[in-house]
Amino acid sequence: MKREYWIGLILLALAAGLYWRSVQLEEQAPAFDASSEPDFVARALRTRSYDANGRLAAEIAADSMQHYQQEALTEFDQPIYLIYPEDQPGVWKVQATSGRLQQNRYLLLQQQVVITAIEPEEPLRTIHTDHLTLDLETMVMTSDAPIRAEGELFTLNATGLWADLNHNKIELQHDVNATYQVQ
Amino acid sequence: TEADFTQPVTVSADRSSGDFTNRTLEYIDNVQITQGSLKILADRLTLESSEDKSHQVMIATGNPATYQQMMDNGLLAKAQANEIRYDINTQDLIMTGDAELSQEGSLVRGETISYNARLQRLTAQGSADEQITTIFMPTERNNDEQEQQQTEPQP
Repeated sequence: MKREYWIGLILLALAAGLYWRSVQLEEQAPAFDASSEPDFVARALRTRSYDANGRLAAEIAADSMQHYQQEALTEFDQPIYLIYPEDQPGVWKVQATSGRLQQNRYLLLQQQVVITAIEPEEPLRTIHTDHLTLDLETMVMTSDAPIRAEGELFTLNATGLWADLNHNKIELQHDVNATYQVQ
Repeated sequence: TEADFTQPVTVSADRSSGDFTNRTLEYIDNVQITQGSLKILADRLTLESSEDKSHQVMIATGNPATYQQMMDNGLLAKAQANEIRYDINTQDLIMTGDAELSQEGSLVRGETISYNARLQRLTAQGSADEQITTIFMPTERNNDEQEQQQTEPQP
């Protein structure tokens, strides 16, 4: 497994490098904030991140990405995050209109954030909110915004969320109201 | 009433906590559960559900947790206990710990009371140091309706 793992990584780096070179030749559209130009931009980005044991921890896809070396900041348009919890078979998919990754660890997702449990048997199917922060190291997600959650037979509204995606635990912090349909 | 059991169940609380691995969801502080005329107030509500939905139980705890529901005979049944366990599939209500169930002045008190609103069946159980107490308030209604609500006290 070790050899394939390294080959895969090298191929991925090569592909990203080639793609990044071709993007550089393109005539760059004026950056949103003229004072800080992105150091590099990528389009139709797709990248994978592994944890210390070489286990696939997350995959990120985005329409476009701008990276600002100085600020250690990366901005994404239409990011989609697939999160593979440590000891769970399920997968969590987190998508939003925009995202900002700070210090390569704290991912702030904004506007129409949707968290989907890819595991079909999960009691909770989707969570909708306006913004949330995901710590990529601990896979802990927090938000102080209104939350709407949907499951197979229930809907639930609350304010404020804390979730540990690695250990499949979630807390809704204020004003919880749920409706269960009876089969 | 019978119609209650086809209505959606609504739950409100200050906060909630879920553990998807163990398939439990808890509602915490100022918990109110309603289903038609059924209403349960509690400090904490735990929902347990098996993957195939054959086991769906609501466990409400409080000091005490309280329950009320309009019966088909038009009378309001009220109950309280430290724990009220409601099985959504069988509609069994099991109250444990200083349990009391009353309706129109009649009262049953014991360590455990189980009641099935759909079957209109009630059983009460005392504890080692306390027997069950049953108080029947005579009513003007005809006798055969009263026989239907017999209780089987257990030692």
